[in-house]
Amino acid sequence: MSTERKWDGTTYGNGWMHRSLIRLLRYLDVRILYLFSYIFVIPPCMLGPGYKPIYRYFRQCWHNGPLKAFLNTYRLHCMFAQAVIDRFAMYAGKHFEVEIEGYEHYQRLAQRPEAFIILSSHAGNYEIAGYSLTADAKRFNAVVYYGEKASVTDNRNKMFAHTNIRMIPVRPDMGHLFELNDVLDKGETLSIPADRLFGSKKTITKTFLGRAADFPLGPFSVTTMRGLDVLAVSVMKVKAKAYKIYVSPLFYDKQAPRKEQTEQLSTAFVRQLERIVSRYPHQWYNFYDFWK
Amino acid sequence: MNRAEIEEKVRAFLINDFEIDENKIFDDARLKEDMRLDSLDYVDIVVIVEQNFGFRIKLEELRDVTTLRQFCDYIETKIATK
Repeated sequence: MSTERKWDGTTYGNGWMHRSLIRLLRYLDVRILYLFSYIFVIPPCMLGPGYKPIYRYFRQCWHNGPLKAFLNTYRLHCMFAQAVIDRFAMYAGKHFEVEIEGYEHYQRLAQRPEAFIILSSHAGNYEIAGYSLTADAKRFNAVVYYGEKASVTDNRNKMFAHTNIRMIPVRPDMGHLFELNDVLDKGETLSIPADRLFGSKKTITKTFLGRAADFPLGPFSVTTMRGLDVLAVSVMKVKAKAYKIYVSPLFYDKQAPRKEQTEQLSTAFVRQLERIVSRYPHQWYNFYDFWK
Repeated sequence: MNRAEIEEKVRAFLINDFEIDENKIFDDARLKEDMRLDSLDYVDIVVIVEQNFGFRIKLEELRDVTTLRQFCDYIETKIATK
């Protein structure tokens, strides 16, 4: 796996821009900013490094012709702009309507004393509503990218200061290891992105949307090593101010040899991700060459 | 459990659980650079060591453990003080 295929995962813009956006969103409706972004922000963004990988995604995964792929690439960038604006709107105190499909799976695991894993992805807008999946009895810990801008991490910390949600940034010095281990020992919930490599270079190759792609091995390995239960969670935008959360249990044979368990779990995750991305192809937010 | 048994068990889990090439497993091999063990592997190692040696690693105690020899030394010391 080459490091060139990794994406740094930081939010576009600097701290001043982020703070201004939050101030604006206290007074403006998100739809005004959506419109502004379609005209003034998306066209220059499409000249950036994210254009080609997404264009290829539509050409090769969805077999679009050149014009259709171009238009869909624009549309995907618009959806992504909405996702980013929504995230800052949330920091500004705005609320979105959220519907949860499969909430009973989450409740069942949240009521048990054992730790369990939530596998997330960069399809949809996990941050905006994923953290509504919390339980009073169980702390929710989310593994996040370490290099995120201070304006984003500060706002996250403010938002979650009085909740039982905690962010665990994957640090270069591996300081996060103690926290991960502690979380699992205490029987808490651990949420890990399972579609993007960070903190580890080990991969497992799966067929995703008909083509070979590398997924990080770590999230599957940590889960099977401890025989933990797993949910796949995706948070998809369905209307301007509404999201739908999909909670799906993922199964693997806990008695099988460990390598086989990891294989089964990663396959289950990839199949579930395929179902989500097939339903919401414009909410695939991995802006780098994801496929081999 | 003597030193040879410890080394044998460590070698076995490095090969079986982490799929490390046997040629890369030698006393002075560096865990991260030579064997490519990464952060999430260390979370797994806590469980494996508990299963194989019957004690719980404190990850902070592994901060200065960089080679296989030091790792086996660490396990030997922990077993001796159990």
